[in-house]
Amino acid sequence: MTAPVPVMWELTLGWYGDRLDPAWSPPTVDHLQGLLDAVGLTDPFWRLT
Amino acid sequence: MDELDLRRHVYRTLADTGLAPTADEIAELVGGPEAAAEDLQRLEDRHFVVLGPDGEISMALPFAARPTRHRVLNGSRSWWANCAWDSLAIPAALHADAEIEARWLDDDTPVDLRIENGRPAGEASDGFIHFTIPARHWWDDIVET
Repeated sequence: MTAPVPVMWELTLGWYGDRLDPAWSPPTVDHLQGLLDAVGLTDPFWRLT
Repeated sequence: MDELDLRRHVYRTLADTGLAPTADEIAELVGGPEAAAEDLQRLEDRHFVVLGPDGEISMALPFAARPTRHRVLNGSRSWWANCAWDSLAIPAALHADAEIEARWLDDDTPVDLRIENGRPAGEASDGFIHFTIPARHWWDDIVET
């Protein structure tokens, strides 16, 4: 499966953008799935569960 | 120091230096080698870090604590990334522009990719990232992923 670099960049801003935030807490699977869905990665390949 | 405090220390050290704190360094913070090994195992159990066979931190996603094929540079600072996606994720986590050093798998030529003004730039910026493992299996073997 491939994903365009601009799509992965948009996903990454949401997925990793807060990783160094001192107030970071682990995201839920639903949240992460929402990030994938929001950038159009909706194929079953991208399902987290 | 609770798990989230220790995680913050690991990530801050990686962001600042490009290297993870060693188990010995963590032992000084948490009261000895046994406590460090237990605390590191707890971080791995929560997927905050990945440990190598030697018990040292080998990954704290998106950072790699050891040399890889993917390197991210910002001025005099640099970091190792675990994969192509993580080479984008490090600048995203740092909120910084960066040069990405990597080579194409098929012909071993350099990849022209950087984050410039907060956006991907360079010849590879309209390229694709290849994934071989479905998302639901990423943590089955995160090193392979």
